[in-house]
Amino acid sequence: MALRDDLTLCAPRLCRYARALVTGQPGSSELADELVHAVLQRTWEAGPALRLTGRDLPLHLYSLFTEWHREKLAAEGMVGRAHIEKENFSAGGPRAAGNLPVAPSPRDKFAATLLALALEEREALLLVVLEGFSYAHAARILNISRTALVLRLASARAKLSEILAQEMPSRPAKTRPPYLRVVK
Amino acid sequence: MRAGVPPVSEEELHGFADGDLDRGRREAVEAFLAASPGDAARVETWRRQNEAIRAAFAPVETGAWALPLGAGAGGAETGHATGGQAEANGSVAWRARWFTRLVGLSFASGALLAVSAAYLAGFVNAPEPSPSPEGPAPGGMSDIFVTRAMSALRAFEPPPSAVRSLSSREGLEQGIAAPILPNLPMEGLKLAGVRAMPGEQGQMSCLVYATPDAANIAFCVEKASDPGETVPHVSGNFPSAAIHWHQRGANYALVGALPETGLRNLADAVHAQVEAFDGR
Repeated sequence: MALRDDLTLCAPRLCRYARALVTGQPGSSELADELVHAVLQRTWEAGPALRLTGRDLPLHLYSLFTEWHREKLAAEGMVGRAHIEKENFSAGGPRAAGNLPVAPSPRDKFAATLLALALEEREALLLVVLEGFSYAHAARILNISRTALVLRLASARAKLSEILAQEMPSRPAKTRPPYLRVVK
Repeated sequence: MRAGVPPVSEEELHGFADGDLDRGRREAVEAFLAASPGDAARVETWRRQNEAIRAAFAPVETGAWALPLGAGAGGAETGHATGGQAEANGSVAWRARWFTRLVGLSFASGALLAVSAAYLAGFVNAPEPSPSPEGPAPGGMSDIFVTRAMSALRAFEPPPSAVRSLSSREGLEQGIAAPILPNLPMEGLKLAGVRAMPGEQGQMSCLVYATPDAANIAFCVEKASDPGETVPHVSGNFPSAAIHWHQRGANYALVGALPETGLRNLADAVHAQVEAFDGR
């Protein structure tokens, strides 16, 4: 299969990961989509020189995205776009309560919960859980050891449990896939 | 910890929740969790977190994502545009190319299916040498359902233009009388057709998906006789195994030539979607 076809197949997954990582939501994000576009473009331009085959292509794409996303945040002093978007989705938090009187939706709360995690934790969690990478591949993408990956996963899960326990003491809200309907 | 149960590390508990353990250690972890309710609860919490994350982002992967690439290694495309412009320029050509590829994929999958059907036929009909490491079929679920689900991939030929949406507003007045059959949330899957077969409890429906590797995945559901729920179980051996479970009054099964992690993740995502469905 041609590189372009492979890239087309990988693009939606990469985009999903990018949006989840950057905004915590599946909706479009300027920063996430721009980075995804840039990663795809660079990979396409490098073309056969990369000698990517099989699983190597997704690993390359996710590695490149992760690297560029970190660089972007570093360039903005770690308080750039992601932080701003985090603030926007933290409508239920005490800092934003005065700015956003409208009650946040469950989706916004979920996004805020994800964005409450450290970037490294979010990367590890999303690569393994959302994108289904094995620990070995996720560690390779993040350029860390398997042990470090598991530590990040453990930390992310502990924080998620804390946050969700605080926000949903009784019963977790159900997130309903919008395309599911009652069928006859 | 119970005597005789091998020590299990924290890393293995996470690996268990994420399907990143080999079979031998998975059994060890299962034995450990059976004797350690606290750890079992933690792992269950992680699994629910996983399901919530997958369910929250399931809609993204069903959306079309055009590849707005300018001239690159292939050199076939001209003009460098970004965002919507490039997307618009390339969309028509891409649709045409994808249509061509889908036709080719259908023929390729037909050939592969002939081989896999023969394999599956031998596999399904052969006597089980030993019980499945995941244990017997969940309570209330017959082995016949799993066997029929696995046979759903046999000699499947996508009917031309026969797939249509079954969505109906009338269902709203009827409540959730029928089993919920969500879309498989995995990128690259294309719905190839729907297969209805006689099941043990009545009608059994299977959605057959084509993967980019030209292999097929069948997702089957039938109404169950009891409303209980079970955790997913595995029948057969990967990569030609079935994962089946009982949920919300229905038996579900996923069958296909996927790696264990992929099939388990898919099953988790489907489970989450069915769980999240509130019928309104």
